Amino acid sequence: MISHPFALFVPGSVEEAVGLAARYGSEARALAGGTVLVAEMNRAACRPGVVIDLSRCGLANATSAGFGAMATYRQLAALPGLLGRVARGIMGGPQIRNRATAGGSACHANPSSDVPAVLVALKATLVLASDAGERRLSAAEFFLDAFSTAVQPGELLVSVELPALGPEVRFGYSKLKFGESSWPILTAIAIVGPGDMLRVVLGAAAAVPVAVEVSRASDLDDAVRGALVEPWSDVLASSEYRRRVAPGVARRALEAA
Amino acid sequence: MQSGLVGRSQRRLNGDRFLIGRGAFFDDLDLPGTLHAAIMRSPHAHARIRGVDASEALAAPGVRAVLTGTDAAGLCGPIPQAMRPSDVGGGTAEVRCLAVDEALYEGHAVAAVAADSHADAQRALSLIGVEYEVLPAVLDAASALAPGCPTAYLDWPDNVVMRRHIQNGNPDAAFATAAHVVEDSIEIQRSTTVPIEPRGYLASWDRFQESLTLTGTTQQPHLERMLLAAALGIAEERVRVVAPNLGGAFGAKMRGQPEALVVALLSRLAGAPVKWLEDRAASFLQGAREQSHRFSVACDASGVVRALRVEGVADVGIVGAAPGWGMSFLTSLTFPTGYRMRDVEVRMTAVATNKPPWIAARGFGKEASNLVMERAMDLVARRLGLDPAEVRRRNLVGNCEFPYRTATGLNLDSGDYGGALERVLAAVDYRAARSEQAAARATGRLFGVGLAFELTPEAADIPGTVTSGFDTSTVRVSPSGAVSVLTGVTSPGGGSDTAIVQVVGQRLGVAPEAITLVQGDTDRCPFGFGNSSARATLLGASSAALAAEEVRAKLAGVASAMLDVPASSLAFAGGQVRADSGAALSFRQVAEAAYTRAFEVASGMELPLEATRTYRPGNIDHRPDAQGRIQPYPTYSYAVHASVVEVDRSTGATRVVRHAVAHDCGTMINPALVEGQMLGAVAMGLGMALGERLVYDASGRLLTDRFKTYLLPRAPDMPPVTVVHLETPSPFTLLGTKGAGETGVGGAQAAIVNAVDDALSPLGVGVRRLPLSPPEVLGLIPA
Repeated sequence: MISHPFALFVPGSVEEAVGLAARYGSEARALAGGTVLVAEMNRAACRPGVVIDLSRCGLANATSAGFGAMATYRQLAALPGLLGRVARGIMGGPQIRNRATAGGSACHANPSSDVPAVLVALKATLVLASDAGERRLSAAEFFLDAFSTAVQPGELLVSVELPALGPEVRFGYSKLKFGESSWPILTAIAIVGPGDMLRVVLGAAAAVPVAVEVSRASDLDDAVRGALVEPWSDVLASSEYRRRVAPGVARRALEAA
Repeated sequence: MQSGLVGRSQRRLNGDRFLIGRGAFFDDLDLPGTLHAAIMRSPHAHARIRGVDASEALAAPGVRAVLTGTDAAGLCGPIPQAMRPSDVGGGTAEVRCLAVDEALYEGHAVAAVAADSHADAQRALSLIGVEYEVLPAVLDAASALAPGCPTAYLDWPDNVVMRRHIQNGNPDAAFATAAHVVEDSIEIQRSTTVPIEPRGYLASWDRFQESLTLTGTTQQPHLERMLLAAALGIAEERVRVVAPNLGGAFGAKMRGQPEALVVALLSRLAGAPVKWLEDRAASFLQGAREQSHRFSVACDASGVVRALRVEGVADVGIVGAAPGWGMSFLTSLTFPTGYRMRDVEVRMTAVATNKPPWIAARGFGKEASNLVMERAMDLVARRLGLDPAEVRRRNLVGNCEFPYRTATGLNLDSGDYGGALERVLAAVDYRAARSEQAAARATGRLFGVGLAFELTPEAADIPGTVTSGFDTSTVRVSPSGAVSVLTGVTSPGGGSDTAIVQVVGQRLGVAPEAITLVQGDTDRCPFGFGNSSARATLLGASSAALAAEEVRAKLAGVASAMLDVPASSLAFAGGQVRADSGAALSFRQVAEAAYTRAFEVASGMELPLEATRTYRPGNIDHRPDAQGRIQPYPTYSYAVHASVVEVDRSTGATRVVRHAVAHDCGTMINPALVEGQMLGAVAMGLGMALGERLVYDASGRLLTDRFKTYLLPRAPDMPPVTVVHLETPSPFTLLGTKGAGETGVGGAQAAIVNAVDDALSPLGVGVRRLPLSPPEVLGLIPA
């Protein structure tokens, strides 16, 4: 139960929303699906004075070229390719997938989640709007640290753009978790092609997604170990554990490509 | 007798109401004018409470009462404890509903408010100022026993809650002359039981009657009434406790939880009903089962185990009033489970640490004894190069030996241990599993098969305590022929009430749908001890059977007079009372006649059509034997489990490929409900083996207070489970029933642990610490 008083705004357009964001700055939080924000407010883990609900801003589109900040996992699940595959594997059942958004997940930047690594792997561009206009960031620039992104006070994520990929590019995905309830312990996305290009993006392995490029599959294990300088540690698995399992998860992603 | 009701998988009583959301649970109840209680909990694992200033909170909007520890101590006595450490060699601990001058664990309740809304109450908490002087906390058993360590309780000389030593025969001699001695250890983590419904209590103090009504999630309403009356200093008759439908308990809702008394006091102060509902995060404060054992067994060259030595240390947290730490006492008593060895020595120590008190967790300490024995048997098999199934065959008590007196004095009533073993080996296709294992091992895969025998003594009577081996039911028939059963037992949601109604229906020849069952209300039900240790069906159904038979005899007398036939020639079935000649009356006609024509057809019998009977099973014997031991359990359910697992070499993750269990709880009144309990128990044992763990950091703060970090098995995590039923009736109980509900937890845990150990055995490593989470297992696999 939310026990602190707060103001809820439901703007009817992006312009209105960014106006509110500018006015309230860091006092405000944006509400997408609410599966993180509302739960946190219920537990009093955060107590924003202002909540800006984005559900009426027309941000709920989803195609292979990109999706709005309010596109739900259910919508993304219908897309072909990696994004659809990952969206279908988001746990929590239809109740969660019908509400939760990939945009919200990106802004939350929880290391133990699926979306950040997917956006890095797809070389997505995140579009931020403020009353000063729009700003575009690559996924790699967007994720700064655990629970920390480049979104500034007064800015709102409005959409995510996905570059077109040639048919010769293949993806494989592998997610390690400890049972159905568990958050992702480590995820890996292998991107193969064009040509000999082999790129692997590790998610849930460190504070931010970690990208590795090799020209030969046999170099993958060492490259993964070398790139994982500071593996993530939490109550379910230590950094030593993540360091040890990362190459295996990466290899499984490659095998699935 | 209504044929076939007992032994039939009758649909759950009132099941349709639950399915459509009409089953009322605690939080569904809505009493106008109810205030909301919020509880302030210590953020420190150990601290002196220097002062509590609640003045600002009292003045806050919506607040109607505030209670500090000192306030509460002035208004009521301590909570009577289920078991006192001082009775078993430990220190003295008074348990109060709110901490007075010492906070003993993170989460210890130190103050409470009642306010108009939940939000008002939460806000008021933030206005209460508590001055803490942080003290050193002791957070693990090794530290608790180290000389010179801090004590969990400031005024205790050490941290010992209980020390127990059991010896039978001559273990020293047996070990000295044994062909083989096998030693090992196992460390079991703190876990919890997570009922889907958390706890809650609603107290309503009537200032005119000076009486209290407490509605709440309690397994034991009459016992709750007893202790509330004692703590509040009022007569029991002035207290009514009502338990609505319970959404599961598994031991977490037994009598003595402090919040019940807190809301009672708040209600008195505020002059209004006060409700407290536990939030899910706080429910993870409830924990238990944390203990470690070192064990050794002495066997001969053919794998027959002669002797057992086991040492155990249980980290029980702080002493609570609800049953909890006493489980460690039962761990010691349950050795050597269903095996024949005579020379046994058990040393068990329970130590206090600054963690929340143990709850009574399903298994009640017996699961640990089973785990140790099953590890030992597997290690014997490995040492001697024998099939683990064969080691069990050579050591389990044989059918012709029952009733069998164990080395710790328990009298095992009946069973077919060997038969259950063979049935489970067939159910899991043991031979195929070993072939699959050989093929898997040839390609370097880690594939294991684990077995476990599990003994679950049930329904104990422990003299001088409220752990009671008898219970009472009333059966009533009204003039319209309506049958009602009022029981002293309660149901935690597992279906014992359905079983009781089946038994009564069978005795009276009436359909279960026509019978009303009333439970959980101290104003309406005979004094009883609620549910725990699988006693509800055993004692509830048996006492109801006796009461129903007595009422049946009265009805037979009436019908006999009405039909002018001998009472012995009457059959009760299909809602009718029928004579051999074919003449029949409806049940309703007979009932009505008893009341309206009493002087004609019911002379010479006691009216109304009601009987209250108590049932006391056999086998319980409190006369100490030559070694001073008593035999507190009437019955002994058991099971044999077989688990097939694969361990992922690169992640340490375990997948249970399939699981089978052959169990025996004596006569089954409702097989479907028994099977439901078994599947749930297997899920619980699997979770305990592979993932569930309550984790505390170095300052005593709980890190796992949500389902994302406390990993319960979910439906997709469950393997296919085959359940095989055996029915060896108990010779000591009225219906041959034993107890169902607990069996499954310890056996599944042990079988899965053994399977993982078996999977890892080619690597030359063994499992010694639970849970066998992927990081724990990967740590055993060489990089």
